[in-house]
Amino acid sequence: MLTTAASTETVIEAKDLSVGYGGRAVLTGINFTVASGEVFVIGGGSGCGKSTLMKAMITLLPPVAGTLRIAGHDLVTGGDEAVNHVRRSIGVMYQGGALFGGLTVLENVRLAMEEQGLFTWTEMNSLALSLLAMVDLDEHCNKMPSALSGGMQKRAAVARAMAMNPQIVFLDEPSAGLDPISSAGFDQMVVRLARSTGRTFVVVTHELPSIFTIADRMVVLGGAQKTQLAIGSPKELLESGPPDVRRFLARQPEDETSQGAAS
Amino acid sequence: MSPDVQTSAGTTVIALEGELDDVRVRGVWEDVVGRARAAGTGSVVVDATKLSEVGGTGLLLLAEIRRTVVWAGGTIEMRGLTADQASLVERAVGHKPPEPREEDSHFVSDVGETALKALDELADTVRFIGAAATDLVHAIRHPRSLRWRDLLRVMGQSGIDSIPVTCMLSGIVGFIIAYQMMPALDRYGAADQTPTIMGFAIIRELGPLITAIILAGRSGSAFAAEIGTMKVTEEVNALTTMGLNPERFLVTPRVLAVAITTPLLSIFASFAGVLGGWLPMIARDMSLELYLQSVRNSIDQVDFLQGVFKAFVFAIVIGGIGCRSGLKTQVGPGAVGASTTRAVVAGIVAIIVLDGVLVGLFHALGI
Repeated sequence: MLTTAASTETVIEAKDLSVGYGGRAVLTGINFTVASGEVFVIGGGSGCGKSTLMKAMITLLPPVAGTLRIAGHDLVTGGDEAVNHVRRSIGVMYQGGALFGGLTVLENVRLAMEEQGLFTWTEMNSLALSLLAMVDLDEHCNKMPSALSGGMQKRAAVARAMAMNPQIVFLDEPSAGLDPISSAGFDQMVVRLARSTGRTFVVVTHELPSIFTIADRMVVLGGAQKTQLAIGSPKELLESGPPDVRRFLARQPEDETSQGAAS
Repeated sequence: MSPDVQTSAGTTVIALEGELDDVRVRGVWEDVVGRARAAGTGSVVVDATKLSEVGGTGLLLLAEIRRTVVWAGGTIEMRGLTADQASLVERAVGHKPPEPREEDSHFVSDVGETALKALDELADTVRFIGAAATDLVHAIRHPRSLRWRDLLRVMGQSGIDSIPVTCMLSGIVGFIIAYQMMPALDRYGAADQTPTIMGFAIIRELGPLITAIILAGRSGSAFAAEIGTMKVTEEVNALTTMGLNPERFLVTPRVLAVAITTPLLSIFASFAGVLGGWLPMIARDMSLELYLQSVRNSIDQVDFLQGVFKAFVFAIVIGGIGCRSGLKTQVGPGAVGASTTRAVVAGIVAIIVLDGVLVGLFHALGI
């Protein structure tokens, strides 16, 4: 687990938050805060609404009700201005990497900088190479994404997510599709990046080894009504969380007679 | 062997013996399940103590009996099953599926809904193409904002790579029109008017139209597939969260590329079509010089520019429809294919309708 102390500055605040599609809430009663520098995990079983919550946090889905404040901007009441501010404060690694297939790894990392136009060509190359070095991919900078393995593509996507110096980095299911060794390596990289850069990482995952390795705190979603079941450090939740959450973290299948817990 | 079924005091006892293999199950299924159903809300006992072997299908039969009784509101007792078998059979009861919802459909309302959807789609497409055209003007004013590499790549694909097929098709169409027209004109002694008609037909109409149809098939579909795949792999979402406008990033270079190449391609197509029209004239001993001179005399600059203008408009519409189809791609294995088909069909329909509108407009303007 990450041992550096997170600062007390709150960078994400969800209060009575409901998220969903087309104005219809599918996940309700979300209440948590994330402090700057924290590695925060959104966990829960398949179909519990983790990805929906993350989509709302990365501005791809308007929240239905409540408060969702990211980097000081409320996405519920702030309109397009808040959305634009939030997009400048976040970086996102998507589940499959979502690297642009027509660009090399270096060009992928450099893209947002090019569009912003703040740096010279040499500066951009230098920055992009440094970011790739941080994820151990500088040697592969001129390769096309299709020439990389799944794990390498995800690491390149992390470098791209960090290209615009975001306050918060979101990682969507980073372990999905990776072998256990690559997955463990990826977790170590996340911990290293969080420690060294002091950025906030929000990770959506249901991989228990990853959760126990990287998370300072986590929120567990689930239940028949799809809501927040508990919040705390994984260790605390495993020891003294609600039964559904303890079962989820202990990898115990649902009781055959009960329905819809932590899933 | 048939199952032994006895009913007394509201309890139906179904006793099964021997081996419950696939063949046996098939033979007794209807009988046994029918008896269980006939028990209604009463109680049923399935006695499996004398069963020597229960195969996978046998367990399915026991599950079906249990489901039938439980869903009818009756009670059931299974005797002689192992704990694992009993547990599996018990699980198979599951939940009663909801009754299929009756479709509240009516022919007239269906037609109305489809028409409204089509109108919404049309309005949305027009809005999208309008926005693409505005972005195009912005890109021309601010060339640094343009992704030149994408622009040049698409210009190569939609322009240079399309020259052979466009010229070949246009040449063949020109040949067919001239060949079919000559006998009809001969009846009125007007075969020498063939170059005049070819000039009008090919340069004002068919050159741009054939170019646009090929553009819809090659580039419109390619745009839809390319952008649709990017949508499915979340690359479009990545652009959005990076603060880049996907429309401007993906659509503008593509639409601008075809807006530049299509008018040029249309000129090539028109020339090939006119040349194709000369081939049947060889039989009439008409020289190429004389033929081209006759074509040249039949049209003026306005006719030529009209064809080029049409090609330009068609390009923006096809490029816009292709990109929009890609951006509207849904999830699922057939989504990209559906977007590609939609781009080609909508593109071809749009240019033919638009061609009719432009003909009427030019006529009204006296051009």
